[in-house]
Parts: sequence; C-alpha cells; structure tokens
Amino acid sequence: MRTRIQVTPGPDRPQVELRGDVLAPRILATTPDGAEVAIVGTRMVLLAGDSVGIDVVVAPGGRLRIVEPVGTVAYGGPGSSQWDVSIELGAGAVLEWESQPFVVSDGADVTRTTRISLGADARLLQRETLVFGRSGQRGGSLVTRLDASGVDGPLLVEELDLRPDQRERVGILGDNRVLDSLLALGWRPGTPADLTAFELSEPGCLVRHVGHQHDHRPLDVCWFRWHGDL
Amino acid sequence: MSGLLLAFLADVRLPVGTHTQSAGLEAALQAGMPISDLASYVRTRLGTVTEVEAATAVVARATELAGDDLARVERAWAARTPSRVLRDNALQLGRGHGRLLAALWPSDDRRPARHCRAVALGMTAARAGLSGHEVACLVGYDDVQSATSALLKLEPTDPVQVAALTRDLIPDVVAMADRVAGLTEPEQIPAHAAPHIEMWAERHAHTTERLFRA
Repeated sequence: MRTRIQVTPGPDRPQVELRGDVLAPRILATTPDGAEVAIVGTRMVLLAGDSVGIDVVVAPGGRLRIVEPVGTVAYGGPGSSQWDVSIELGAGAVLEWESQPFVVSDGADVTRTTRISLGADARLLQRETLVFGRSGQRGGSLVTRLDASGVDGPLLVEELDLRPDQRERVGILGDNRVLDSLLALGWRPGTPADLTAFELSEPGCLVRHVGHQHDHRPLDVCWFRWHGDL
Repeated sequence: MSGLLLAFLADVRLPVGTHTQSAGLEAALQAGMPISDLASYVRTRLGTVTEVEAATAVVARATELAGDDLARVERAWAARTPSRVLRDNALQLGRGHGRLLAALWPSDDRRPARHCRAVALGMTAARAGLSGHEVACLVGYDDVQSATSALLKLEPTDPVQVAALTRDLIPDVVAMADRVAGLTEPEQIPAHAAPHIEMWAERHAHTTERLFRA
C-alpha cells in the first residue's frame, strides 16, 4: 500500500484526498487553490525490508506544500528497503516539498526512486538531503534514480550509485558524508554566487552542497529565495 | 581498415579541439585532488560521466543508421548532463566534429544541426562504418588520453610513466564499451552521475587562470 496525496483546486476550497500507510499525510492548512500537508510516520520507518511509496498528484492550477516534521533514518538489517516517490503535476500546478535529512545507517541497503511528471508551466521545488551514517558511522548503501520529464521529453535523469565503496571514490563524494541537493523544475531561478548551481538544459536548476557534517544553512538561503518564485 | 580508421579518429592531431580538453583533470587538481589519484579519477569517469557520453554516441550511431531523429538522443543526453559548463563544452567540441564529418563523410539528406560531441561522433561512426563498440572505445580512450596528457602540462612528470598509466587503463575503456555497445534507444542511455566531478567543472569554468577549457 502506498501513501497518496492528491490536491484539486475548487471554487471555495480545494479537494484534498489523502491515503496513509506507514507514512500518514496530515492537512496543516488549506487555501482555495491548495493545501499544506505534513507527512508523519505512524511507526518506525525505514526498517530493513520496508517498501515505502508516496504518490503525489496536483491537479491543474493546484498548489501543494509538503513538509516533513522529522527526518528519516534507514536502519540496517536483513533485507533491502525501497523509498519510491511518484509526482504528477498538472498544467500550472505548484509543488513545494521541504524534506528533512534522509540518514542511511550502517547495514542499510536502500533504493530511492523518484519519478516526476511536469505539466505545462508547472513548478516544482524539492530538497533532498542525504546523510551517510549516524554519528560515528560510515553509513550503508544507497542507490538513487531520478526521472523528471516535462510535456516535451526528459528534464533531468540521474542515477547515483552511493554504495560505500562507490561514493568514497575520488570524483563522487570522496570522504564527505552529506549530499544536499535543491531542485527547481519549471523555471530558471537566480542562483547565489557562492553555491554550485547546475542550470539544466530545460528550465530548471539543481544546486548541490557536499560536506562532512550536515549543515542545512548553505542551501537554506537558496531555498527561501526560490520559494519566493512559487 | 576500421582499426586504422579508429586510430585516425582517436588521433589528437585531428582538428577537432581535443588539445583544449583535460577531461576535468585541471578542475580536479584545482579542487585539491592529489596527482596520485589520477588512475582512480579516470576510472570514476569511465563508470559515470564518460559512460554517459559513450552510450550517447552508441545510441546516436544506431539512430543515424536507422534514419531516425537525433533530437531525441540530444535531449536524452542533455537531461543526463546537468552541468551547463559541460554541455557548452560538448557543444563546442561537437562543432569541430561536425565540420570534420561534413567534409569527410558528406551527406545531402540533413539540415545542418548543432550536436554535442557524443552525437556528432555517433553520426561519424555511422557514416564511416565503425561499430557501436568501436565508437564507445573511441569516447573512452579520448577521455583517458585527455586526462593523462593534460597531466604532462599541469604537473610535468615522466611522459613514459604517463604512457604506461594510459595503457593500463585500456582494459577499463573496453569494459565500459562492453557495457554500452548494444544500446539503441535514448531512454537506455545510463545516467550515472559524479557529483564532485560535475561540481568541479562548474567551479573551474569560473576561474581565470586555466590552461584547459574543461
């Protein structure tokens, strides 16, 4: 079973459909065209063997803001775990997903997949903070795949093999333990000069910060700036 | 014939601008990578960004042979190359390869188009009669040779040692070519990323003192 959040704008208030599983969505606020929803774990997630799916659908013209009150720890144990996200934005829809750190503990073996489909003039702002190891740990295995496409074809396709031996290679992350990314799709935001920004071929931008310790500040500044564009 | 053709296309004396390239080595050294990491660095590239380039060339070759639209291949490549610096560099190199292709293997059924280096090389392979595996080897070998040759200019060292290192990396090039030689569709192009290599390339483009374009 998957967690689902679907927002459809209405004349007075939006229609918000929620379905929860081990991750439960909770409405925090609504406006005529959208909602703010928190995703809360109903038990410990992500345990070895867990397969978590989140489907997000924002109908044309709708707006959705997703917040995570706490970060996620992927625990070690027998079996691999999956974190699978599917995002579908209709024409002119806006999604802002302010995630918290995703910590890959020793012994964890996680696959994260994200599929994003963007309608015409839709905008997405999403943060992904990957942290390898809890305090004092090297961290487990993580492989990620992102497929984002617009009406005319792919916008960004990226696979990251972040298993310990791979991610510690020169040119990947070296001895860094944190990969913090901010992704804007659907427009060309301005970028702070002190950050490494990848201006995508299609309207969009990916900003990355790599570090030894988790420090949310470098990308927070950029987040607030881009948030104002939505 | 095709062995000699491959050597011809891999020759640094071809007028396609390869002398401006360090396969990101200058950027890596500027970021503090020690020279002793060179072989490991090149292997990282062969498993990530260079594999994407090689696969793009393989798919472009198959697309050209089938008479299909290369724009889909170009777009798949661009979506897998988030760094604008690396895309611009590849488009500049593509111009050189495109000029060579138009002169050496002319075709009258195409409107002139701007292609990235990988797509231009794939078209060249299709028209010149190289296999998918050969063009993948060409892309991989060019990357290795760009990095190791650049070392001689960036940190002068014994050229024979550098040649030995280049030769030792040839099996890695072939292994990479083995992985991508059979691809035919743009969606099949791998998207392996190398965060540091891509970040270094962006920073390198904004430095004033550099010998190499990328």
